[in-house]
Amino acid sequence: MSWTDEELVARAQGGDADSFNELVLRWERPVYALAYRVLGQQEDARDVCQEAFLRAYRALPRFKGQAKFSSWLYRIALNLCHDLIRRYRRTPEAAIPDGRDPAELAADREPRESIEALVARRELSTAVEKAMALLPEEQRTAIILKEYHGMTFREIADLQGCPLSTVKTRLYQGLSVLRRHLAPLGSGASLLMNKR
Amino acid sequence: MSRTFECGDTAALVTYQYGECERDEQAAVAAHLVECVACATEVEALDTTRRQLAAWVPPSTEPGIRSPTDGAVILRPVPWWRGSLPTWVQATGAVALFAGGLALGGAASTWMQPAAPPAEAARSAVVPVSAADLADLERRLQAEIAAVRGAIPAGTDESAMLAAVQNLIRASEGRQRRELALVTAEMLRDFDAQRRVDRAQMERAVGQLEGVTGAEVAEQRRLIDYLIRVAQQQP
Repeated sequence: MSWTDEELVARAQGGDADSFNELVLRWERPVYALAYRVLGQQEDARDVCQEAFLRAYRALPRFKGQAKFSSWLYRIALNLCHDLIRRYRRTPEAAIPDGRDPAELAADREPRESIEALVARRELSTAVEKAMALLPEEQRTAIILKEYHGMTFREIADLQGCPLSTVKTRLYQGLSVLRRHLAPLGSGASLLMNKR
Repeated sequence: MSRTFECGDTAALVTYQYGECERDEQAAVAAHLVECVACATEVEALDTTRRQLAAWVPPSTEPGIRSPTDGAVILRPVPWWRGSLPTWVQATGAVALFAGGLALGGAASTWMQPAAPPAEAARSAVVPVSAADLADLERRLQAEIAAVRGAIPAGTDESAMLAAVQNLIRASEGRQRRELALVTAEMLRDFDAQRRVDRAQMERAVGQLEGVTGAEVAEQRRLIDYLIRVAQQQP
């Protein structure tokens, strides 16, 4: 039987450790992906992910369900990312992580993808990663939450603690910067996007 | 309530782009995009950028989060074929494997032994010998002995017979020495012939090399002479 997040939270608040472990299994990848895209480093993303779940577990008795568990968890992870960025006083590095190759990228994609599309996807992925690293943290976070986690403007505004109009402005400004940096990749991107 | 769209309202364009407009706002922006090329181009560019963003894939490695409840590694669900099997299944498999090994071992030992002849074949291999066969064999042996005795002159004693045998042995040894000498002579002749052939080939190769080298030297000399003449003709 598959429990909802709310049910698992309730059971975990009642002392069922396995229920919280189930929440970890359910949300560790999205939280890790969020942290990785914000920070740009696998090790930092893993540390943030681990710490986020630890803090969530400790704060679970105070969680009243006023927001979705995932939104609450994202907020914790984003605060940790923000603290880490402020501590390092640096922008995220856009270095290509180890162990990423076209074959790895292809594993998540359709198996009959041509080698040309695979290479184009790899190049585009690297270019996007570099371009995202150029954005201010607020714009980057807003775009990540919107594009990769499907959150609404209202949810992003709540997470970032800013007005709705600010979220839209951050999105537009961030997308405009990205457009300037990604425009030269028209040919490779078109090869890739035509197959989508 | 009908809403209007002000050209260049980027916030409204972003909201439209992500499909979070109210219905009337959606209609107003859509109607404006039909008329305004600049805004339509802007929306198209945003859409292209968003599609490019989809190519960014985070690493597929497992985060490997440890359980906050007890610090232990969380046991992730694995497919049944990758998980551990119950003890009784493992024991049954081990017994079946052992039995299979025994059966194969027995079969292999049977295959490796030479096939024993069937009883019928063994019995048929024994040829019965009759009294007539034995008598015929005795007659043939006596005839051969008589032929040998006939080769020795009658009246010769044992010393003469011994001398005759010694002569035969010496004649045989002489034949063997001659054959050995003949084989040795043939080997020496072949060896000498091969040596001459090799020497002739080496001399021919060296001669060609010398000829080529001499030709090249002559060519170089002609070239030098030509250069000297040309240099002398220059003012």
